[in-house]
Amino acid sequence: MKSPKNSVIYISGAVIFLFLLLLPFGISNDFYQDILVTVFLFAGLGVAWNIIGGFAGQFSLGHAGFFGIGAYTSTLLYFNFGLSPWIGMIAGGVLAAIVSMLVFYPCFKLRGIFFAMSTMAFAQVLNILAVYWTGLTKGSVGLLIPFTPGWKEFIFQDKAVFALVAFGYMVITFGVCHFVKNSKLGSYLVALRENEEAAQSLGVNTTWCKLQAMMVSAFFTAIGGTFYAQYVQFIDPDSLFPSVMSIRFALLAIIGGIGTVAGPVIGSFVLTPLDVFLRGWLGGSYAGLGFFFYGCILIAVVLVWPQGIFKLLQDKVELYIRKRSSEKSETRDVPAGRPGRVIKHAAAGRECILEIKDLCKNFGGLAAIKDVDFSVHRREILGLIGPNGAGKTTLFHLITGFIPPDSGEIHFKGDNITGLQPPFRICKKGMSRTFQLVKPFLNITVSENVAVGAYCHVNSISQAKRKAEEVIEFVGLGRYSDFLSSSLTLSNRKRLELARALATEPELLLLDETMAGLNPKEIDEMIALLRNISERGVTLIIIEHVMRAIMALSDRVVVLHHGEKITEGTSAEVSKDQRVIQAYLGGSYLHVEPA
Amino acid sequence: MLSLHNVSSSYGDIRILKNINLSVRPREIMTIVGSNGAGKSTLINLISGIVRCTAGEVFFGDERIDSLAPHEIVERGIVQIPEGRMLFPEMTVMENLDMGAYIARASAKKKERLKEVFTLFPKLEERKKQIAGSLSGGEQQMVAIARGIMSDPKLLMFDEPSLGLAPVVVEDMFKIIRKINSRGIAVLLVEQNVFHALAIADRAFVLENGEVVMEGTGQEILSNDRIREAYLGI
Repeated sequence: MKSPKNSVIYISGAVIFLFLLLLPFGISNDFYQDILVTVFLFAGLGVAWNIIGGFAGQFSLGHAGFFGIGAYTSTLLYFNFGLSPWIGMIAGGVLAAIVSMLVFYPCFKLRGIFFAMSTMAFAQVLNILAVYWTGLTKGSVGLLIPFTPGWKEFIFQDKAVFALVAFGYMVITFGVCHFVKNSKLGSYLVALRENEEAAQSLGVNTTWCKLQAMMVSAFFTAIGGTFYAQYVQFIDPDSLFPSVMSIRFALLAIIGGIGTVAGPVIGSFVLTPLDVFLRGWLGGSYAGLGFFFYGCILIAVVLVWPQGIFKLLQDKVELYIRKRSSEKSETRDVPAGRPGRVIKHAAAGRECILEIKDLCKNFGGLAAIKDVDFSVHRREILGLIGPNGAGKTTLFHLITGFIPPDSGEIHFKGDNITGLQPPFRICKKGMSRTFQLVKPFLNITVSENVAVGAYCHVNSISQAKRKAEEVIEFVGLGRYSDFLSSSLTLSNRKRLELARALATEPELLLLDETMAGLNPKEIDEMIALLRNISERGVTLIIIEHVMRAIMALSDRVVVLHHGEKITEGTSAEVSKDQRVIQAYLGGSYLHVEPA
Repeated sequence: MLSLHNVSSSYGDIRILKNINLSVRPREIMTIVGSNGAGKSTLINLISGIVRCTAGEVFFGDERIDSLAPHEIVERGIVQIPEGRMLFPEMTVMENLDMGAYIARASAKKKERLKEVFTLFPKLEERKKQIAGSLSGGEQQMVAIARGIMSDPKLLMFDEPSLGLAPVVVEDMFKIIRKINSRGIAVLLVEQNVFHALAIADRAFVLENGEVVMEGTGQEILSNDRIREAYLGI
């Protein structure tokens, strides 16, 4: 893509790269060189933290643990086996990745603050281990790495070389992070950060994605640890494992721009020198006062630019480019629900796509679903109605694997999928769903949202993007493709959720109150869209309170009441059923709404 | 009793409400019609003081209220039943109702209001010790309305009370809104269920892209061809 925005980014990127590469040789002052090394090192560490903390939104406050693992592994291998720290560095990275997998596999079940606490505990345990396992680590006395300069020893007389190595470290982490961000994994990480349930329903194996991100992050954090050890040439638990260290990694990303590739780098370039200067300036006479100012500045930055410095710069640059290249984005107005390739009505098959037998689910003593059985034929639209609390959404949760049933069986395309969890497995099999309360991934664009669904069956970015665009056009969101999904109105969010689910190429689609909150006109448009989807050959189960939609769409209707199926039949049959009228419809709905 | 003069509100660069003029008279039911994103909820939130207006004035009686804090506005007698009910799900039904009655204007009349609420919703008396989050959608909506009544409102604003409810419950809901109105409480109603909402309205106005484009009695609006096409799809 040759847009002016990209060329500006490439050129300025190249200039900055060359400048930083040559910078270490331009500085002779030891103090400034030291700052430069620290800036590069922490930029890399911030980027590494950001992979799991920013992109995946798993707020780790235990990365000091990996940092320490890296430092200790390379140093101990060097001491005990004479192994070059370069090799020890890789070993430390691999060890950290393995440890992260073992420790965090269970921890990823925790969310938010509880996850953060578990990571803090992790670093704390390592700290204690390092203090008391004196046979291995010399405990609090620490390990002094003898000053023997040489490439093999990973110790250099000239600080400029250290700076160069640190620069390399930063560039590589940056590159890896950039790669991750623009990969399928990156798209999945953002999705699960924004809404884990929705991500699962689109076929994302959230636990495995988090683990992958954590391993990459741990690996590079440990590498930074080794570099730190070689640079300072002294390690002890106190300097490696404290929570302050973990918090520092997180801060760089938060101040610079959480969830962006360049954010932590900018964060490090701002915060690290600030920290050093304040300490140098006030450290002598007013020790501690530096921290006070540092804290004040942090608070101010977070208050003024809550999304970080990078976002601020990005907005400025984009504004500048837009002014210069006044390119008008062409409005692609596409009629809603333009039919895609219509699969011919193949002799309306009586093949059973979903079969539910004697399904039961209790919550505590309450029977939410009781002996429900029904089947859905391929290419059919099945309406599911019933009073509030009848168990309709619970039934969806059971079918899509969000909760396991107590008894009974669910067969999908002939396979028994009862209790098949987690939900991403079911999605991969060709079943997708939407949610009663829409769950768009708010902070990314419409097309990025839909791409998450598209990745269910393709791996390449370009294929996923193409698929996403196609589906977005189909549901009539074409002109919103590059809008943030948080800017959409409710009716468009509902379309987005449909598009996302459609992108997973489902054979069976479960829609939970797609019409709720729409006005009659919008309901008509949605009905037309659902018809189009059905004509494409997708089987639909729709939960709906809007009877007009149920009447217009469903081939058959199943009625639930108190967790039991009370009747089943065509919409006309069902709407005349006395039990249904009593429990659900009420007497007069037909008089008020035109059929 | 409530009047808005040239009220505008912006979010960032986007103007959500533009020069709105409208009034709600005592004891009437006033309905707001408009598509998604037209600014209906913003308008309700603006009257409640949750969203600030960037221009214009809001009066309640003779008092200007657009710079008051939300809790002060509730204290004046303007109460909102928010979209999606917004109960305190971990509290019991009774505790939810109590929450509505802690303000000064309501605490003295709490017993009286409670009796009123339980006559309106006999089911809630049966369930007063149940955790609110465990109720069905229809019952939760009742709690939300009951909580609003506990605050002893002069003007009750409903934001999509029928959202996600079964048809039979929707019917009850509109009956209840009428009943509440017949006790002398003015009602401002935002609804996607346009038929019902206009059918019970004394007056209504249509909001499009943040502007009032039409105003009239419920029947007038209901029989207007353009409105029928744009919002009712017929």
